[in-house]
Order: sequence, then structure tokens, then C-alpha cells
Amino acid sequence: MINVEQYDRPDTLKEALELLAKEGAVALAGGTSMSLAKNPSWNSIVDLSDIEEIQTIEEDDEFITIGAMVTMTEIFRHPGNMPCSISAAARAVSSTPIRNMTTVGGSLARSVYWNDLPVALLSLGASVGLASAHERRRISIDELYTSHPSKVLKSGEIITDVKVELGKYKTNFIKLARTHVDYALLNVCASLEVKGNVIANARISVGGAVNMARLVIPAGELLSGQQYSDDLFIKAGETAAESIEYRSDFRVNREYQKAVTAKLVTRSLRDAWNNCECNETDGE
Amino acid sequence: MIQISLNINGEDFDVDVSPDLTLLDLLRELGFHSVKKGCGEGDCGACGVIMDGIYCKSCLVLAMQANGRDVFTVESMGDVNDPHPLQQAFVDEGAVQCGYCIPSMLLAADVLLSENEDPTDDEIKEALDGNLCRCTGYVKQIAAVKKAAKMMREEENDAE
Amino acid sequence: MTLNNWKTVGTNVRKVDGLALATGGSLFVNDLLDEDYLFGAILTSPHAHARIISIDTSAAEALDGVYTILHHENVQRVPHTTAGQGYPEPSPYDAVMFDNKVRYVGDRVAAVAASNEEIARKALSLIKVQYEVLEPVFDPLTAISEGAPVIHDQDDAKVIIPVFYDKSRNMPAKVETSVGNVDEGFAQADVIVEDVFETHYGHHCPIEPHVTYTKLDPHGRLIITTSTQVPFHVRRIVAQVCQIPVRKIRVIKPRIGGGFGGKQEILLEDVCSMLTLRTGMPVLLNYNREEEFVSSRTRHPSRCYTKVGVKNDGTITAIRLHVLLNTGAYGSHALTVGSNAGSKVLPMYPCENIDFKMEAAYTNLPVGGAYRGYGATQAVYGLEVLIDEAARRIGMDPVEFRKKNHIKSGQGSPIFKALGEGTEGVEMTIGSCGLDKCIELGAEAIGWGHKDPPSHPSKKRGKGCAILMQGSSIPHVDMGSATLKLNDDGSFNLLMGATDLGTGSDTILSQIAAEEIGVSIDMIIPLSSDTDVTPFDVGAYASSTTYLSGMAVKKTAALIRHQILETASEMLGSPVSALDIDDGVIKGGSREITLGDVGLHSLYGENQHQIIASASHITEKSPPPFAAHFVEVEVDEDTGSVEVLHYVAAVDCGTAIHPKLAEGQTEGAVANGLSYALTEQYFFNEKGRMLNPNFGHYKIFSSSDMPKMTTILVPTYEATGPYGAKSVSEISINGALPAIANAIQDAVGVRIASGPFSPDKVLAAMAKKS
Repeated sequence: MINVEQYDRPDTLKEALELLAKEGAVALAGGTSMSLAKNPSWNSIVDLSDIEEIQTIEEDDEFITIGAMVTMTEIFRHPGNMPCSISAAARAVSSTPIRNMTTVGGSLARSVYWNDLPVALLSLGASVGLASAHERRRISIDELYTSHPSKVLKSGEIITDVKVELGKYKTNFIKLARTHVDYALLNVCASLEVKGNVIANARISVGGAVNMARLVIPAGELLSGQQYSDDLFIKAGETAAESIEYRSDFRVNREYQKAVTAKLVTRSLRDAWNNCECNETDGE
Repeated sequence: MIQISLNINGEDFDVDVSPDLTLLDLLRELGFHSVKKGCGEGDCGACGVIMDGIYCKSCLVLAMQANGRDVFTVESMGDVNDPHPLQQAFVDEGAVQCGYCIPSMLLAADVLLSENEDPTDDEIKEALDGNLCRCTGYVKQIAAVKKAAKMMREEENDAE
Repeated sequence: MTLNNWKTVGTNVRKVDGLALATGGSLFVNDLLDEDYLFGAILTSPHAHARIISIDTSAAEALDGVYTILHHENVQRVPHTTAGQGYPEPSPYDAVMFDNKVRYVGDRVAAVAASNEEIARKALSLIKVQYEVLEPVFDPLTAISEGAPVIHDQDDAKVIIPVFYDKSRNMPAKVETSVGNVDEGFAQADVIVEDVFETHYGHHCPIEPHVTYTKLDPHGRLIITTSTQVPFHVRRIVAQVCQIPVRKIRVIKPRIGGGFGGKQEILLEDVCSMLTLRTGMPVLLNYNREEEFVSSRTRHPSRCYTKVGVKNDGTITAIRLHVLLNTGAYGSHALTVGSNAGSKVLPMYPCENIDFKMEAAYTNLPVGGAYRGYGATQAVYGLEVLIDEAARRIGMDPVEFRKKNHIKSGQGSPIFKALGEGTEGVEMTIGSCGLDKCIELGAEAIGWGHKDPPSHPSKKRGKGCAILMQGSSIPHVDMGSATLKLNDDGSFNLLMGATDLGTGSDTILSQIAAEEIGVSIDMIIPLSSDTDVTPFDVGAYASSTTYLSGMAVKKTAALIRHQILETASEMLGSPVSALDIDDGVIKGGSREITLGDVGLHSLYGENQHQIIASASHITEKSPPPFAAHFVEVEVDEDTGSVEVLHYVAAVDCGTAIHPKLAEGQTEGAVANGLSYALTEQYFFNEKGRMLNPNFGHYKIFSSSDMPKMTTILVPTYEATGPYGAKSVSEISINGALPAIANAIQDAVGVRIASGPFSPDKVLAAMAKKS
């Protein structure tokens, strides 16, 4: 930080990408963590906050596309068809002044264990628009999260938007934390593609108790193609609890992480199936 | 050093800032003492300001990010002889104890009322959830925001 | 309650400093700095227990912008206590400004003054300290057992009053007292309930961290502007530690950003003063949030072995309370917090057989200190949980059981006499007691006996209650005083040592002065506190300001009122006995004159003199405020999360001088109690380092965490207090632990015997039960 000599706030994505193509340039996407970071290798900051083309939420019959610089507050206040898990995850983020600053792109790119939004986007199978001075591409969020996004993003490349298919899933998001403004102990999002009484496809994701938001594939596979049954939801919870690698958390022990993962995955599945309202924060 | 221009409470400032300098520290250096440092880590909210209409924590904003922006602190709301309805209601309802968290909380409330002229208890709680207070139980602040909202609605009706 | 025709007392006047605060005035220490000053910073220990073998400051001193560095080799060794208590202090003299030994992670090693913060921090990093790491001890029971490492092995640690002190066994304090025959009492009981209840570390979390600014005036006097609850103790202790005369020191307390007991401690003032004395320059020294958590003071953790015997008819036959207090690395407030665990809890249930023991233990962990609740918080938890359990076991409603057994007006307790502040206490019978009404109104507000369905199939609801008492000042120890002087416009300067730290005491004491004199509140100009200007007061602690300092103000106001009437009598030729002051006007004489007329006449007319009065007050007793707290919770059986849905605090604080501020004290105390009970927690690693010294991971409640809150003030009249007032500030922090524990028991049938009631702990308890 102390070596930064240049600060730019371009109006267009094109300008931003050109600036970011230079060695030592870093994108500032909301910036709730930037002032605390002390990275000496940065020499210029490219603030993305004035680029209107990545600040919009657009909907058509099939998809909703959320610009990378859309804030958490803008997401949950969106008057249109925002999937409830995304709204709930955005609303579960920290406090009002932080939600006013935290952006979709910043949250996805930084990807620390407690990020709430990526858990919902993973479950809903979002795709992610990427851009650099050299190319524009779109990858699945699964691909972005194969390892830490900072390793998947190429040099000078930024996230421009996320795109989610509308009406595809019944979905539910739950955050477990000690207070409303807290780092998640556990985040769970379950999304079910339902055909009649059959679960065509199930995507279950977790965060908080793991190093980075992730999809719990074995639990989803257990359900996909099956007839609905509550026992299966319980089984899926247990499978999820067994199949993930927990981060060590000084706040709670492994047994607790496992126990609540099983319970809340099951609860999230039930609530998704029953079209329950998403829980903004499930704890006190 | 990076040169920036910003507007604080209606007044233009041109200053040279180091890239590390936070908006919080800049504002305090310029004498805006209502902006408080309680943690410097984005947790307590005592440094809250309004920047281009958005309520945010100035310890998390780099001073250079405020280049070209309009920043408002509580000094812009009113003074002891002519307080803003929110300031008056906070005092009258007993919402001000030590007062350290109050300037930023007033700004958060001000943004809320600019968007919602008749907020519910839950809406007020959510709007103030970034401002930690250890003296009160937030009960009096919620009452004060409601009271101010009523005063402001009535003022508006009278004006019409 | 007595009928009254008060004009100002009992009304919600505008808080005198409210608008200045709400408009962002420059009122706090950090707002009052000179253009040029040095920045102080303190190097703290990375080890829990170590001896300093060598300290090399050469590289740091060579850094441009470093003015001075203090450490144990260049600062005089003066044993003292950091506890801001009256002299002679009941806390041991076990601290020195810098020692050659460190006793917890966060203990002082050295301090630097430099031209800015960056250089000061850089200088700290360049100080080379060689440590001999010693075996630490973290568990209080281990610490007082045979063979434990001795934390205070220095020769000069001592106590200065005749009380127990055994540093060789890591025991800074011990108190034992008993009444009747406890074993016989238990033998008479039909039901005996007992358990060990553990309370945890907690931090005051003032939003303004500790901050001190020192400078020398042109006369060479040291001016200390500091965020403190105890300006006069600061002056005395800085004089002691820095070895300069009291007359050379002026302490100014501006507005304070919260204290809660944490600023009843001399933590920065001595170091900051020494930095100024060495450099001749103004110095700012403050704790950042991490230092605030680690290096300031905390709530003493405790283990309270509690046992209660009852007969089937609901009579309590015996109570045993053995408290093991963890005071951390230094013994500040250990004796008095430990004593208060008995004296502010046991008198609640008059009983013939009581056995109390308190042992305090040094450990290599953060230091305990004064914290709102002060021992009562720790001990009332277990007692009130067991009272519930005992009632249940004999088939009596817990509310009825409490109504039958609690102390009533006219009753005394041998505990009052047995347990004082380090020495014996004073005999006392209860004057005002509105507890029955508190219980009745509280139970009604919570809907006692009625259960609503839960909000989710996997959740369960429950209700719980607790009854509480505290004190109002320390009898025969605390003293408050005030000065009033009349100005030529009929206004008054009210000069007080009493320390408003955000509580509103400037307002309340102004109301008392205004009421007694017969003027409106806006004619009172309060000033607190400046040791050069305001008379002595012990400071804001022990729930003393309204009750004790309020009485000093009332006496002073009565004196100045009399002087005013004498002068008016001269002016009017009417006898004093015929005159009265009503809203600033002197009535009953040959004509009506104003206080402005009297003021102007006294300063410029015949018999010129300043109308001015001072008075002091000490108390004979410490009348307890009482409270009944009720809570409704919902427990999530899947996660163990406990959500508080509704909290009711019904409080008897005598007369509420300013009802809204009294409610505010109650709501603030409850909010703090709630998050302490549920979410506040120090996490340590195996080396004694705190893992969560920030608000990100140390969770205090925000607005969105607060439940529905009902505050009920039950008026009574305490004859010994100003206008019938008792204290209100501390009592309501104590209810959440026991009331919530009882509600959890009601909801899911498990007893949680240690705080905080975190989801993992509650889930584990439920799993163990099934």
C-alpha cells in the first residue's frame, strides 16, 4: 500500500482494463478490505466504482445478470426477480455501511471463508463474466471456485458480472452466526430443480465452516434424480456433514461444525422444497 | 503523495494524501472531530460518514477514494442553536449517553429517513446495525428516529 | 412513595451536554490536542510469563523522530496498584510502571514517544528484548495449588491495609465469613441443590478506547487530560508513581466515551506523564482496540461453588457460596470484587445459616478490574439458577418462591456487616424496597406462566427470571463534594468532582441543584471534572454518583440557597424566614426580585461578596436498588442458538431523578448483560494469547440483535438519598446470565452452568441430556 503512486477511477470498463494490464495494478471493487491491506507490491489502484456498465442488474425471461459493482444493499433491495437465496445472502452480510460498499465482484474475487454471497451463487449455478484487456470470457462459478479465484483469474482480469438462471431452482439460504453482524459459523444454500415429485438436480453449497465457499457434490448427487422424501433430506445432511473438509475455527469445535452442517443442510433442503422464506440470519 | 479534491459539508478541499491515509484520518486532520475512531477496523462504526449519498465507514475508505466525492459529517446537519430534528429527537429521547457513537448513528438515521419517511422498528434496527453503542440498549435511538421521522413528516405537511 | 411537588427532579429535562455531543462538538480527549505533540506507544509482552534478561533500545533510539524510550532500567520502581480506589487502597501494590518481569501476553515492557504514530510503532519493533520464558499458569485452581509457578516473586509486592495477601501461593486476596451453622442448616433441608457456576472474561468495550494526553504548562505543571472515571485518584496515583508532588498535577476529565468500570484504573496516565516529563513535550497515548481488549482491564472470571438448602414449605435453611476469582496477572479490585460477590448477592435471601468464602488467584492471563456489576454479576448467576431449581424441586413456582424469600423493607442481613470493601462492612437495614412490585409488574409484562408456540418446528420456547440487588456507594469510604457559586445573571456554576462519563450525571446533579435552590435547570452550568477547579469526589464508581454526589450537591444547594436568602433579606428588608425562591424569583418580601438581582447586588452592591457554597457528603449506608428481570427465549434444537425474544427489567431505584436516563442506564446494562451472557467471549490459545481482540470476533450486540425490551421503573423513596434516589447504573447488568439460563432450562430442560451460552455449548448440553 505504501508504494502506491497512482490512483485512477475510470468511467469505462475498457479504460479500467487497460490500466489493470500494467504490472502492480490492483482493482478496487468497493474497498471494504483495501484500507486494511498492506500489500507492498501494489503500485497503482484502479477504482471500479464509477464504471456504470458493471453496476446494473438486468433481467430477461430466463436470466438475471448482476454487475460486479452492484452492492449487497442494491441486491436485496432489487425490486425484480432476485432469487431469494441471493437476496438473503446479500442481506446477511455484515452491517448496513458494509453492505453499502461490498460488491458482488469484490466478494467473489476475495473469497474468504465467511463470504456469504458466493455460497448462494454456487448453489444456484451462476456463471461469471470475466474481462481483461485481451479477452472477455464466461465461466461457470464451479470453475471459478475450483481453487481460490485469485488463481483462476488471469493477470489483469476482473469479474464483470454474475448471471443466474431464473425460476430454475427452489432455493434456500441459511446463515448461522452468533450475532446478526458476524462472520458465519456456517452458511448453507440448497437449490433444487424439481420436476413433479422428482428432484431432477440438487446443488448444495456451504461456507463459513470451510476455507472457501464450496459445493457439496456428494450430497447433491444423493438427491439428484430421486423422488422426494424427507428421509433423503436427512441423509443428504449427514452426507454433507461427512464429506466436507472443515476449517479449524477457534469459536467452535469440529463436532459442532459437523452436527450443525448435517442439521442445517437438511433444514435448508426442507425449506427449499417447501418454498419457505430464506432465513436472513439464523442465530443470535 | 496523491493530490485529491473533495467536498466536505459543502466546502471544497484540495489536499495531498498518502496512499495509506484513510478518509477517517483525513477528516479528523481537517478538524471534523465528529468522526470518531473506535477501532479503525471497520467494526464499530463510530467513523461513519455519508459519501455521495451512501452511508459508509470512513476507516475503510482510503482518502484518495474520496477524490471528487461529496462527504457529509454530522457537522453538516445542525448546530446547538439550530439542531436537525434527528439531533433534537436523539437528545430529547435520551438516546445520547456518552455520545461517542452518536454523530455517525445520526448520519445512518439521516440516510434511512431520506429513503423511508416512516420506518418500522425493524427497519431502524437494520439501518443502525453498523453503529455499535455500549451505553444504551438502542431502545432510545429507535424511539428517537421514529420521533424525528414524525417531526419531519409534519414539517413537510406544514410546508405544503 | 411520597407526594411531591418537584419541578425539575423526576422530569426528563434535556441532557445538559446532549446537543453539543449530537452536533459533533470537540469534546473528547482526542479532539483537544495541540498542533504539535508526540505520539506515545507501548511495547507489550508476547509471553505469558517471562523475565526480561536484557533490553536493547539502541536501534529504536537511533530512529529519526524518536524522543524517548522508557523501560524498567530507566524508570523508578514504585510499587502501586493501578486500581483507581480511595486511599489506602484495598488492592495490592503489585504493579510498577515497568518491571523486569512480564506476567501476561499484553503486559507492559517499554514505551516510546515519537513524532508520529508510524515512527512510534516502528521504534517499538526495533526494541530488542531478550526473555527468559517461564512456565505460565492459566487455571486459577492450579495457580493456588502447591508447586505452581509464582507470578509475583518480587520482594516489594505488598498490601497496605491489614488484609490477607500471599503472593507465594498466587493469592492476592481471601475472605471468609459465616453466619449460624451451615452444616446444620443443610441437615434441616428437604432439598439440597448445588453446582459450580463459571463466569467468563468480558470486556467493557467503551466505544472510545482509553486515551490520555499530557503536557506541561508554562509553570512547569503537568496537565493530564484523560478519559477517566476517577480524576482525583489519577492525580494521586500519578504523583505516587512519577514521584512528583500532587500540587504539580492538574487532571482534566473532558467528555468520556463510556467507562463501565474500565476507566476506574490508571493505565495510561502514568506512562504518558512520564513521557512528557522526560521530553518536555505534549504526548498523546491511547490504546487501539486490540490493546484495549488485551492490556486494559476485564471482568474477573470466576468459579462459584453454590449450594442452597430448602424445606418443602419453601424456607431456605442454608446457603453456601465459595468463589474462586481469577484476577489475572495483577490483583486490581480482586479483594473488593470478590467481597462484593457475597455482599451484593447473599443478603437477598435472609437465612440463618450462610457460609461465604472467596479466594482470588493470580494467573498469567489478562487482568481483572472494576466492571459494572462488580462481583454481583459473577455470584448472582449460580444463586438465581439454584433458587429456580430448588423451587421446582419442591413444586413451587419460582416467582412465588422468590416473593416468599426475598429481603424486605426493615430487614437486615449479617452479611452487610461482615463484608465491606476489604475491611468490615456496616450494619444496615433495608429502607426502601419495591421488589414485590418489580416482580409483579415484570411477571405480568412477560406473560409468566403462559407459553406461545415456537416460530419453527425445531425451536423451543422458555421463560426465566432472576431478582437482583446492588448497592449505592461505599459507606464510610466514598466521599463526594460540590461547589456552587452565584453569577450576576442568577446563574450558577456547579463544580463537581463527580465524573460524568456518559451516564448523564452532570444533568442529574444539575437537576438536584436546580430543585433545591428553586431555579430552572438552564440556570445551572455544570463542570466535571478538573482537579484544579472542582472539589474532590472519589469518582464515578460503586453506583455512587446520584446517591452520594447527589447528596453533596443537595447540601451545597441548600447552603447557597440560604446565603441567597440572607442577601435578599438585606436587599428587601424582609426576614429570611418570609422568603422563598420560586423559579429564580424571590417571593414573600416587600417586592419580588430575581436571583440575577441578588447576584448583581452581591458582586457590586453593598456588602460585596461572592455567594458561594461547598459541601461534602459521606454515607452511612449503601441502600440497594432492587430489580426483577424476566426473559423469554427461543432455543434452536438443531444449532443450540439461543434467541432472546423479550426482556423485561423492572427496577426499583428509589426516585428516578431523570426517568429517561434511568431507563437508559437500565437498557444499556441489560444490552451489555445480554451479549455477555450469549456472545461475548475471550478465546485464548495455549500460550495465553487472546485470539479475538476485535469487534469482528468479540461480539457485542448491535441494534439488530436487541430483543423487544420492556423497562419498568418502580418508584420508591429512599429516605437517605437525594429526593429519595438510589443507584441504577450497575444492577441491571446482572440479570441476563441467570434469567436466560433459567429460560433455557424451561425451554429445553438443560442447565447451562457456565457462560457464555454459545450455540455449541447449548447444543452439547442438549446432546448430553438425550
